Amino acid sequence: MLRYAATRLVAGVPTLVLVSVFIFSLIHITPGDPAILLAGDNATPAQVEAIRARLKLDLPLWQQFGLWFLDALRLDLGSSVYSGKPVTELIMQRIEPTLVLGLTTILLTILIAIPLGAYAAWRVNTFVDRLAMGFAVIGFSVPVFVIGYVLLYVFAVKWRLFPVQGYKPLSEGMFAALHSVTLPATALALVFAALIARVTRAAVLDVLGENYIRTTRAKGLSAPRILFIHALKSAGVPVVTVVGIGFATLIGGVVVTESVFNIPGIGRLTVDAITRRDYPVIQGVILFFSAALILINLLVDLTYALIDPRVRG
Amino acid sequence: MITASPTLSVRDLSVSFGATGARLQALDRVSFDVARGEILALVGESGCGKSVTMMAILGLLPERVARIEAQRIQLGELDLRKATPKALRTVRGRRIGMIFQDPMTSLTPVHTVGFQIAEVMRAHQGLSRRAAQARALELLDLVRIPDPRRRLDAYPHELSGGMRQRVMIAIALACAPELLIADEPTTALDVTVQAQIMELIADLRREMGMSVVLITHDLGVVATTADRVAVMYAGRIVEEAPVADLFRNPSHGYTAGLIRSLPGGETERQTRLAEIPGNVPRFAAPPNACAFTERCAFALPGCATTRPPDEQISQAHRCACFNREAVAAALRDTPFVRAWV
Repeated sequence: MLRYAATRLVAGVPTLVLVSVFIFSLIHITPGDPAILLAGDNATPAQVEAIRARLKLDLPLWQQFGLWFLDALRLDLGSSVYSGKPVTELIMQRIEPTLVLGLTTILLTILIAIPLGAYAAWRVNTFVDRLAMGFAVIGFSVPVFVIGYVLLYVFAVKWRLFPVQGYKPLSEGMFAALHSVTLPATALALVFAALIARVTRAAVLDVLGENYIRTTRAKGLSAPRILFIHALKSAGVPVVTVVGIGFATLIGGVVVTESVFNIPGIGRLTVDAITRRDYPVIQGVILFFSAALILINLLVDLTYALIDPRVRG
Repeated sequence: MITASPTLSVRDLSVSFGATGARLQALDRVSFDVARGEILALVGESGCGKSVTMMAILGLLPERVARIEAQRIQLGELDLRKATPKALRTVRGRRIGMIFQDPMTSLTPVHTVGFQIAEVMRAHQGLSRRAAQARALELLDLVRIPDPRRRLDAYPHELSGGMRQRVMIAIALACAPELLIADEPTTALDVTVQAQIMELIADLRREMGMSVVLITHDLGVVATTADRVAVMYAGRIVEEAPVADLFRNPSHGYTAGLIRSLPGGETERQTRLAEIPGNVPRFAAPPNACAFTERCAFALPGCATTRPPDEQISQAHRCACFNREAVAAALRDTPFVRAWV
């Protein structure tokens, strides 16, 4: 198992290289020039050129990439064009809100979606099932920023239960941090819960027709035991797959949500960097997201082996 | 072997499926008793209602589509017709054990066999995890699985079909039930393994003193294992007798058809086995006819218009056939029947 995990991690390196080439090209194809933005409205062409030279933006593209890549190998992702701070430091500063938001979202999603989907499968074609799946369709079709603003209006503006925006770091206490991410995490979770509940329902429904479920009934086991210990665990592989994919899509959702709720996380960092054409930061953040994705995929594969013995060996 | 109070007693059990107006009759007034310590074989072609009978008794038919009616479904002192779903749950697994046709797919793939055996005892007898595991080990030994300690942690996919059926038997017997229902337990297994499993069931019945309902379509298995036979056709029991009585004096046209399709069922040196023409009707025939009429070699004009009543041929032998003397006479000289006389 450990060996397998190590091999998979090493195999992720070429992926990261390809991703960085791709991102590098994409950034430089899109219009916009950080030097012009940086120089300000009244700058002379000479000033702009000077800035370009300082940022090494006057070099041929392949040389720029080569320089960046050599640094990246030493885990130096360069520095922000604006603040001059190292990209790695910027990421580390912003990582906590994003992690807290992301993990809370995933936890909420799993707690809502999996029992809901499993129960809907158990009561298939009843009112409960239809209600649950109706909710899933709504959650899936409404964009996260719409849900975000609705939640903001109801819970933060009208009822004043949660802050309208901002983030309280963990250093101010676990509760304060969780309280500050409750609304954004709920907005995000509703979207993913919809997807995961549907997949869970389908997978569990499939399993409920199996002979071994008939065996559990003949054994006189209780309904929750049949549903959660036998059916849900047997249906685990497709569910874990979708949770993994959910994680991946979550990255996009985090970017939007952090803007709506004004949370100083990596999503905000990304948006700011893109609007200012802060090339090293964009490059670094996307590389960071890619690495996170590779790690998630690995975790998903390891989870398969954990829940289904037939995958092992 | 038959004592005053049977383990299981069923009277006039009828089951129909589907919506009102388009209801399909799957069982038509089925009655039988299973005495203590006895093996009753329920015989018939696929689709004749053998499994539906047992599922109805256990409350395992889907409530929304199945309508069950009965004069009596009595397990010992317990009236199963009036049992709540919760009470039925404690009957299943604890008082009635069940094994199924297909051992390859009857065990949950993601749990060890030890877990699946121990689980029944933890649910019904409140055993601790440790005590249940220890009992599970004894049970694996009881069903003659070699190296049981190692098998305890095995997953179903690591075991052969015969092994898995032994595990199923261990699960069914975990709480020492008074009744074991074996629904075609050997159909999916190799011939040699079939014999071993049947022998195991017969031995355990003796050791544990339980009753067994053996659902099968194999008269060979019936001959070697069962005490009594009930022959089912299209949702009805058409003939019922102790094994020796039935094979000595087969009296229903359908029983005759089953025996004739065995080697030695017609003459000494047949080169081709006889078959029953046609197929089982999908659901029971019109109420005023013998359902087997169309396929029967002994059919009389009245068979298609009147349902033959159950008649006692002897104290323990009953049969619903208008032409039973002719049936018995026709089969008297076959090698199969002569072997039993």
